[in-house]
Amino acid sequence: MQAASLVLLSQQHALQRAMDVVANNIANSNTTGFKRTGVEFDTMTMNPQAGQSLNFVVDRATYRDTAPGPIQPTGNTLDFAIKGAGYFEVMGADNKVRYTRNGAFQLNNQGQLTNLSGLPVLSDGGAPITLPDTTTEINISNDGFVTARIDHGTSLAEVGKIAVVKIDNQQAMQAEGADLYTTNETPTPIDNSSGVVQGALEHSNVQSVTEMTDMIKIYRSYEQATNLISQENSRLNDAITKLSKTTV
Amino acid sequence: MRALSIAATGMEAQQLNVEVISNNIANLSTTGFKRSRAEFQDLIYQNLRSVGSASSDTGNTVPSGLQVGLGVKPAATYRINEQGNLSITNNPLDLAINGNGFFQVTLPDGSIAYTRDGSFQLNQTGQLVTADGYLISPNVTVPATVTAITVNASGQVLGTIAGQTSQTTLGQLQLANFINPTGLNAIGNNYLQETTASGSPTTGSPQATGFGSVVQGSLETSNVDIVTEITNLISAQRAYEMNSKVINTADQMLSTANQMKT
Repeated sequence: MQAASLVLLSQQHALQRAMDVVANNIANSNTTGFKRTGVEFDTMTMNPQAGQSLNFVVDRATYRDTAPGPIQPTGNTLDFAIKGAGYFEVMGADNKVRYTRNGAFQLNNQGQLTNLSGLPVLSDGGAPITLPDTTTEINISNDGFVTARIDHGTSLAEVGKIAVVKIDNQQAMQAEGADLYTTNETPTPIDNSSGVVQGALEHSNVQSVTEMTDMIKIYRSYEQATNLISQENSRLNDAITKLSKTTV
Repeated sequence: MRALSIAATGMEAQQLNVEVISNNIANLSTTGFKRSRAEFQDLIYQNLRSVGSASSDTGNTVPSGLQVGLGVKPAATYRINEQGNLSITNNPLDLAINGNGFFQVTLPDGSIAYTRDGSFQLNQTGQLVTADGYLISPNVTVPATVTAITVNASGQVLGTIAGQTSQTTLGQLQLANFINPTGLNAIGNNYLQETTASGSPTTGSPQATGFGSVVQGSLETSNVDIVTEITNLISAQRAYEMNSKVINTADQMLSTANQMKT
């Protein structure tokens, strides 16, 4: 008898979670390299009686929208953006490789290229990239080769190649926070369609208008569900009142 | 409902963003100022259903799990050490560095601070000092008899003494360089201090390998680009507004739930 209310309750639960996801997207609308998350709803069908079926709402999954974000020039020589598919590799404190699209890098006191959390950025050989103290200019080619001009010299010395790798199943990557991802998959080198852009960062791919309209939709659906539950409740109330009168 | 606290992290982040931008704009005409940028990272994620977990006994796995992120956090505010423009002042004691390096200044407590602001003056004993009266290290003393001071690109300070035809060498300026200048700690008044992140300084004469040259009669302007800052300000304000809308909506959702008739 309360099936209607329970179905609506399942919808409300799912909508609350969808709201959390939208809130996270909006909170990260200025986070470099952030990928928005979408929610996938699904139905769970139950047959309490023969001939009767109830479709409950379940929030089946969240998925990462891996569409590229706009590339914004910053004028900082240590900012890198990946054009097309691919991830930078950084070495975590536990000696496991993490993947990131946030190319806002810095140098540490040993001259190693690190991300903002201080984790060293890896070269294609898996070692950190170290720049000599006397570096006066840093350049990076489209395919990730880092060259440094030493002591205002005329020639550029090659320092290493930043690893930019492709991961086939990006949905299976676990977000760790701090723009880092982990995966069990063995990455492959990127092809010619991807490249590295120096002096620019990839902006988050959150579209504020889409998120705002999603939020309105979520809110209205939630309101509707609440109203329906209220109506269902008063219908039951009425039924009880009327039925009890006839029996007396 | 997590949306409330998630949006709160978003508002806090944008507030910091606006603070950094406003400091850049406030220092638009500060000599030798380097602009900063606030960088953000996503916070931790809650795994409600893990990616790749089994969805049936026959080995089917979930292709994309159920992960809810918990907001945003400021990762760093970092200085962008791009060279500023040189503006000509024609003041012989205004020195700009064209290239890498910092002037060294002895603070009253005896420690060394680093600066790109070369608007120097002379104190009552003829010593080269900053606008705050702190001595340049190594110091150069200009005798009262000197009528004109020349500083050449390699940092030699030469003085013309009345009645003499050739210039006298008064001293040699030294610059300090860091492997990671972004790691220097800003202490205000255009001074920076060494940290473990910056590494220890290497000193040398201007124009030596790895060091920039000194330009007399010029000052380095701030590297703040006003158009970029204003654009960033607009985007920060919009983001702040959107986060507050999220709080509003989440609040309304809770209020609808509260008003359900029983």
